[in-house]
Amino acid sequence: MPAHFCVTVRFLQPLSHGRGDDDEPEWPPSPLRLFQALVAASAARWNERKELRRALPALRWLEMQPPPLIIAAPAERSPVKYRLYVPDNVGDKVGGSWARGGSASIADYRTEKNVRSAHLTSDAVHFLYPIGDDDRVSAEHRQTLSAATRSITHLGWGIDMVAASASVISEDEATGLSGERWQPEVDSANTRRAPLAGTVHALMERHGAFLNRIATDGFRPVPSLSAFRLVGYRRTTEAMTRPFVAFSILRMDTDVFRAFDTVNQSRRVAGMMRGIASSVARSTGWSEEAINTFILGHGESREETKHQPVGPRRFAFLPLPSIEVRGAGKQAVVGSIRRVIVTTFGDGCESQVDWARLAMSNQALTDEGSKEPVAVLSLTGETERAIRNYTRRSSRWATVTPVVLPGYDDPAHYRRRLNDKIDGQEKIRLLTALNDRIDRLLRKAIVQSGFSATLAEHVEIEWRKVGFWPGTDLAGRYRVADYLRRFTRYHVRLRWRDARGGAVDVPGPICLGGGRFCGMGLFAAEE
Amino acid sequence: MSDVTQFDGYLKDDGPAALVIREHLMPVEGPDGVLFPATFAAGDGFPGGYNIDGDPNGTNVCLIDSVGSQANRIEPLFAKEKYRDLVPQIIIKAGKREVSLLDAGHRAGDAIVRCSELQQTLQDAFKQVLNGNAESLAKIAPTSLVFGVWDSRDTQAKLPRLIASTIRAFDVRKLTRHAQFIPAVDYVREGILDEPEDLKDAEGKIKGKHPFAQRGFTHIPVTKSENVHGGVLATGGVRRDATLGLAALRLLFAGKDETKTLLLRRYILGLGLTAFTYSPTGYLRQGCLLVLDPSKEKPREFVEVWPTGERRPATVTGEAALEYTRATAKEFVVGENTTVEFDKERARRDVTAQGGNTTGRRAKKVKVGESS
Repeated sequence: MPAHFCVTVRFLQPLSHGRGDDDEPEWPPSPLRLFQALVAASAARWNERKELRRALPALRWLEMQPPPLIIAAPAERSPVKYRLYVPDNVGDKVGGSWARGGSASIADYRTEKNVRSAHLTSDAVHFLYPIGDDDRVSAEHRQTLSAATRSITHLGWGIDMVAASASVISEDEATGLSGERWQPEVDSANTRRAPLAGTVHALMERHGAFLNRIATDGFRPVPSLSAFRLVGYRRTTEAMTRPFVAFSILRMDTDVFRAFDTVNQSRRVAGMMRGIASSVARSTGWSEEAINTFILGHGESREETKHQPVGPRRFAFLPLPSIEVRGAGKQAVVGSIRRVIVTTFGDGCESQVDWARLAMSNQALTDEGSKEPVAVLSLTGETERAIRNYTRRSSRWATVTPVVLPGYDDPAHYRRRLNDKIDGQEKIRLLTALNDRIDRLLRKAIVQSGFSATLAEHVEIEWRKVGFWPGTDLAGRYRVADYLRRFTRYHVRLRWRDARGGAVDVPGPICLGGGRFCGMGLFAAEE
Repeated sequence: MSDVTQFDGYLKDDGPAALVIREHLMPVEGPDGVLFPATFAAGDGFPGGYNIDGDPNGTNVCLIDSVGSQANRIEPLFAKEKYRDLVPQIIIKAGKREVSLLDAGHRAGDAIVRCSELQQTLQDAFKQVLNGNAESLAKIAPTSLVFGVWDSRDTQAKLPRLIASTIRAFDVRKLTRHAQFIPAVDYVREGILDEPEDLKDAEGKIKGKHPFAQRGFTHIPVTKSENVHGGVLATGGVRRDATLGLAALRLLFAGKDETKTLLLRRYILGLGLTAFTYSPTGYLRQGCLLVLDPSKEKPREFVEVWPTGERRPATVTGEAALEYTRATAKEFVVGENTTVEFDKERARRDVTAQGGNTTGRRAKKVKVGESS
């Protein structure tokens, strides 16, 4: 059964002063910071203050482990620092002055020290190391480390006093730990230092150098620690930035936009994109299987009739309605489709998006019926405002095309029963049940689109048949594929929130529900 | 005589990690009284003034007294009559002045004491710390083990602080104030002083600064932004959080001798409990006199914090801590009181041995660390 070696550190005061590589308050603390605290605790606990022996094998084992999952109390970084003036250790200068009858003061010898802290909303941070091979040696190392952990007294600055403990916990127990979850993630730009093979040896060498930094021949600078690695971390409340490429849709042989009606032709545009992508992929050497799955979204073979979904690792072709400022009041209004985005909702598909950028630029969109070219794709900048309406970070989003619910919203036929003669209480009960069902389906759609369960749990959702954006039509009027017609459609507004109700900025593109790979359920940023 | 074993549970490896006191305070004028937090200098993007984190009009935290400032208020108690026998009183005389080791910013690692006849004693003590024996250091400078020390000028031995205390106010509203200095006499109108003829420009405005302003001979309004801090109203209350790190105390050894280690730990625990249960003066600065808030169900909370995070109520009074410390100090045998002279020659040799640079420049270069 999967389990974790969990090291829990509790801050005795709700502040942390440790600094990261950017000199900003570091929260959560890095795995390397914890490792260094364990090294110091081991040296102190077994009174081996110059050279580690007792805990050395266990520390060497720990430095080889994969980076831990970190579950940490949310924290607010202090936006400003305050400055202290701390006395330098030059009392001999002051004493010398006094001995000569002078009046020097230690206040004349001070060093500036800037303080900037992270304010913790709770006291605990947990580091969860996955337990792979549960052999006797590993178990002994964990026992040694558990003893050492109880001797961790500080984490961060000397004023960051902590109490720590360690134990093996089950997956269920890990799920029950409260706090923000920080997952190791290769592509995240938010990095933390972590130990690697040789870190404990390097720390011991550095300690020795530090103890000898003042010698009879002068000061010997202590070299910085270099035996560590940088590991990307991402909070589960943070959505991944999806790679995408944007194209303008132009008339043939001109640089004028070719517009398509959003309500009736969005599906047609997506279909043409799929067609041209398949054609170009075939000519550039893609296998039929790859074309079938990644471009067309068919997991089944040509001989099979039943559709097999392929999951998120496939292209999504998202026709983008223009959001135009109209009228004297300068109101933003959703207009016709003039651009399209190619993206994916799966991880690790950057190379395919890069291929689309190169291969699909200047290709002609061909009508699926007449086979005649009707428009040409022109690569467009990602920073263009018309694109950023769909891709920038925002905490508030609303649909430009409605979300097709990923399931029946009324399997028990509550709406039919609402037409019967029922009392007010029953009516309330039925409506509440309907709303709960729709809410659950929308949160399910959010998770299906690749967002974390944490984000899906805390997002605030509104839905209705009428669009939130001016210029959108009633949800039921948008043309969808035949297999989606039986599912109800709603316009939806999302306000992304974290567990504390704080706004979370999420990057686009965001597309939810049935037909999302063809641009149904497409959201534009409202802020 | 106090039972020296009564707190041995705090010295066991499976004992609590720390003791925590939380005191709910208020200005002496009342919970709605104005109090004046510490002010900090401007620089490096900080405009200066009070340290307030968060929404200035909503949820925020304001620093009233920092860890270092609280430590500076607590540590000198061991020079007071009631407590002075608990620790050796080490005085360093330089010329006509003298300073207690209890007042030296870097404690046993302070340069003023290493340039005295205690230099070798302290060096030996710090070297023993590095070899896992803190007994010698406890004989001469036991408060260094309580409040932390770093021998930055010599052996580099370091011991962490056991006690940290901070006072914060919550959800504060910042106030401003203005004032005007009014001279006792209108010197110009009374003809006592003549204003310089070139004082004003063609429009009658004073050019530059009024020469009388610096000497107090004219009206001076207080308008500069750094001078108009008017205190805060702490709508969310004021609180002192103090911690005594027992897990850190259990990392003190007298080498491999278990009996001596126990005596050492009991003694330092006693000093720690005495300092921990001592309420430093509520008078922090002008406009900031704090007292316990009687409206709280528990104005003073005292808990044991275990490694699992569990908190259990506990209580140790100041008197009980003092009695315990007297007993453990007697068992440990407190070091001798000593008065030594600052040795100029030793200081010169110390500087020469370290490459001949002035200690001031060297100190700035290595940033030898902070005081409490």
